[in-house]
This record gives sequence, structure tokens and C-alpha cells, in this order.
Amino acid sequence: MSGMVLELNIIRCIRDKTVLWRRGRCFFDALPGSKTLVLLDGSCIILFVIRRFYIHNFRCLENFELPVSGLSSALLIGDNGTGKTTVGLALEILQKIARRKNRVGELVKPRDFSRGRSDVPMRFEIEIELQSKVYEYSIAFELPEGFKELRVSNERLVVDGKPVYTREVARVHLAKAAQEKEASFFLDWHLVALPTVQEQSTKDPLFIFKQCLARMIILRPIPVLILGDTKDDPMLEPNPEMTNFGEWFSGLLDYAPSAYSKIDLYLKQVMPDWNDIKNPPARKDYSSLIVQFSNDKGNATIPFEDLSDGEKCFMICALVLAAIDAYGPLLCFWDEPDNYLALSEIGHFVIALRRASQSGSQFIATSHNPEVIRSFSDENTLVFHRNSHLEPTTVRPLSELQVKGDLVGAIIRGDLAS
Amino acid sequence: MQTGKSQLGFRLDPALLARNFQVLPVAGGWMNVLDIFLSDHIAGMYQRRDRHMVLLIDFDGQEDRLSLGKARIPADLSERVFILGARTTPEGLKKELGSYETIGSLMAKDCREGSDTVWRHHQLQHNAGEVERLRRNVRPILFAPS
Repeated sequence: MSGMVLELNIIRCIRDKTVLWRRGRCFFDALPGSKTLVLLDGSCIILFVIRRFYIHNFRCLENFELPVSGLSSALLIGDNGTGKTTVGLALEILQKIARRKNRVGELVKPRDFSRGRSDVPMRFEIEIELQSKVYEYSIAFELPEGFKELRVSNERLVVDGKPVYTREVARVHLAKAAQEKEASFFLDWHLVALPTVQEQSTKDPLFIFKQCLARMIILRPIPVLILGDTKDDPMLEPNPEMTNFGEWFSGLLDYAPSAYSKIDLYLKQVMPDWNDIKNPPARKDYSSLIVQFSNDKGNATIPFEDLSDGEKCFMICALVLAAIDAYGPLLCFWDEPDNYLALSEIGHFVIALRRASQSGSQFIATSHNPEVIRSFSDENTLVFHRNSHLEPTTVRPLSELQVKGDLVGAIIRGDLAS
Repeated sequence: MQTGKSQLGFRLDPALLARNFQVLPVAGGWMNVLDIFLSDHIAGMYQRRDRHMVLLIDFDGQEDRLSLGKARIPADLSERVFILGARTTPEGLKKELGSYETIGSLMAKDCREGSDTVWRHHQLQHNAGEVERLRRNVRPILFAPS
């Protein structure tokens, strides 16, 4: 016992200072609200965690705050239509902005206002802790009388309490940087400023923040659409449907060739006859992934697009794990990761993602599946509820609901939200 | 429901060979655990000679549950079946050691390193015999040799 108490005391002493790591030990989930991931073997690690995510007047989310601060992984549960997927869509809006999509009309539509309430601004605020800095970004959209497209009402980025820029409608004000004077300029109010404001270098907090948002992995895969073709340049920005799997695979291996060993290791575990994957040119302008399986009886070569839906999800999971390893820490939001998987695989699948996220990343899943629900605790399960389509979503940690007995049974009986 | 949540912390241990470990649904009550083991799992254990099972129960202050449970397990399977649980209920453990996931991760560490940080707790120390058997038989299955 004394050894453990000592460790916990060390953690309390250092929780707001240096982040330490000892291989095999993670206290992150045990310290809700902590600024640091504490694993102990003397080496520093980088942390990516959402400290605050606030959404207002967007679909069913009104004055909504997602309580995931201090959690390396979290599960969103609740009835259909309670807003779990909408949280992912809200994150996706910020991701699109960071991926240089700055036209407001391509990000949000008038129909996205909660119950058509367009006289109140739609607001997104995110607070991220990354590399010991706290980044606060907020953007509000409005729809003035007679407008067909929303415009930016206000926007700002603050790093460690210091504004990088602020914006009111069309006027953008750049704060004074180390060697730069403060400045103002006007920007089309239908354009978001974040992609437009130029960073000084790759060490510029603005660059780091944009990159971390752009590299968030938000997943709602549609396996039948994942063909494994690489038609565009390799990149590290997979789309939610994963239709650009081939480009992400190539981009990941370009960025970190050693990522292949991680992919290979995982796939060998879930598919023992897995051999390798190749990306040969299929035609002049694109290549196409092929997968090889082998055992003592022989080999089978299968085009990627002919893999089963579940096998494609294994491939995606392998890439997520390798990405966390290669260019993490990062946020992964996976909407119903249990889809397409065999019952015996679901728990292993989710635990693999949770384990990978312990080293500084954050994994958020939504699900209705009992196996996924059993892969999370009361402390990191968030219950979404909505009384009707006329009322907004509420969210509470399961630990506050004091559910007695079997949780899955309570969900089936509809007793969870009452 | 909560006792079983410590398995999560165990499964999250980065050194665990996670695919050698499967968690079954909560049975609800120590008698149910034994009943389900006898009705559903005996045949599988004869079929798979490398399968081991840990039955996780609450002792509710009645330590004779260990002997009562063991008496119902077929003798030729007894080497591969383990019965573990908190002396009364696990809430006290949580209060003193942290969340169930934290407790599970500490258990994994104990298992890996051969220590007994958690197992010395007064709510768990009665498991010493079963833990020793587990270390002998199951540790090599769960953790690769360092």
C-alpha cells in the first residue's frame, strides 16, 4: 500500500508542472480536472486534451458543455436523437476551419440553428491543452435579417490567456506579437479568420493550434465507400467517412515509415493470417491498396475494397493507433466504433483505442452497444438526455446518476434518464 | 455492477496481452456467477484446455463463500478456476484506492511485478491463496516475459 500512496503523493505534487511518465502506469483517469497526464518514468510527454467544449444554438445543443476535461477517454451514451453525433459534427466544424475551409456557408447552414432560432447567435468554444499551453478558440455565427448565408459575429484565439487575434464581424484585430506590431484588417464577414491569419513559423502557437484541430480524427466510417484508392496527394487529414483512407495510409507512412510496424502488429493480432499491405499503381494517376493474407496452406491477395466491412474497420483502427504513435497526441472521436464488428472483437477494439489514448491523447466514442458500454466506467461515461424534440440536450456523468444494478438493463428499461 | 469495473483498469495496462483476456457480462450476485459458470462454461473449459476463468464475486463479509464456491467446481477444473472478490463490498476500496479503473491498473501492476500493493488491502487480503495460484498459472498468459 505504501508504494501506491507514495506514487499518488508524487502525482499530486507535480500535477500542474512537468508531465512525467513511467511505462505501464497511468493515473490520468484518476485525476479529473488535472492539467497533466501523470505516468512515471522520468520522461516528458506531450498532452492533448479538451478542457472545455461549449456549443450554443446548434441543432439540439443549447448552452451545452461537454464534460470531458481530465478524461483520456470518454463514452457518450443516450437514446437516439439526444445529440451524441451532433457533438462530433460540432467538432467537425472546427476541424474543417483548421483544414482551411473558411466559407461560413460551407460550415453551417440556417437550418442548423436550434429549432430555427436564428435571432440568437450560434456559438462554438473550445479550450485545448497542448504542449503545456492552453488554447481558447471561440467563434459565433449570426443570420441578420434578409441574409441567406450566416456570417461571423465574433471570433477570437487566446493562448495562455493572451489574445492572438480578436474579431468583431468584419474587423480583425491582431494582438502585438514578440516582434510584430498590433494590426487590424477587414475580412469578408462570410469568411472565418482562423485559416487566413498567417503563422510565423511551425513553432508559432497559431500553427500548432490549427494543426492540432486539423489533425483531429473524427470518424463515422462507411466501409462500402472505402475503396483503398490513392488518387490525391498523401495527407494526414482523413475525412469522417474514411473515403480517403488510401491518402491517409500513404501520408502516414510518408510522415513516419516506422508506423507500418505498429499497423502490422495490430493487424496480426486481430487477423492472424494477415501478411502485408501494398499500394501498387493501378492506373496512370492513382494507386490501389491490396492486402495479402497467408498461412501454412498458402496465400490470398485481396483488393482492399473487397475486404469485409469489419476488416476495413480493423484497418482504420490500426491507422488510428499508428497515427497516435506517429504524430500524436491527438483527439479521436469515433461515432459508434462497434458498427460492423463481431461481438467478440468489440471490447478488444475499444480497449485498444482507450489504451493508446492513455499516453496523452483523447478518445471519445458514442455507442448503444453493451460491449462498448462495458468497456467504460461510470466516471468516463456521459449520459445524454433530451425530454423531447422541443427541448435541448442535457449531459451528466453516469457516476452522478447512481444507477443500481446492471447498467445495460437500466438502459433497455429506459430507466437511465429518469 | 461496479466490482467488475476494476477489470477495465487491468485491461488498460499497456503491457497486458489484451487479446488473451476476455470479459463476460455481469452475472448479478455470487450464486448467479457460480450457476452461470456451471451451466455455460464447463463444456468450453473441457474443450479448451488452455482456458482459465476468474469468477469475480462480492463476499459480503462471508468468507466461506470461497469454500462453498470451490466445492461446486468440478475437481478436474479446479486448477484453472479462481474465485476473487472484496471482503464486504468494493465501495470501501474505491474510497481508499481511487476509481475502479485505478484499482484495476494497480492490480495489473501487482500481477506484472509480483508485488501485492493492492492485495494487502484489508478488503482483499483474504484472496492471497487464489492470487498466488493466479500468479503461478496465469501471469505468463497475460504478460509477455520482460
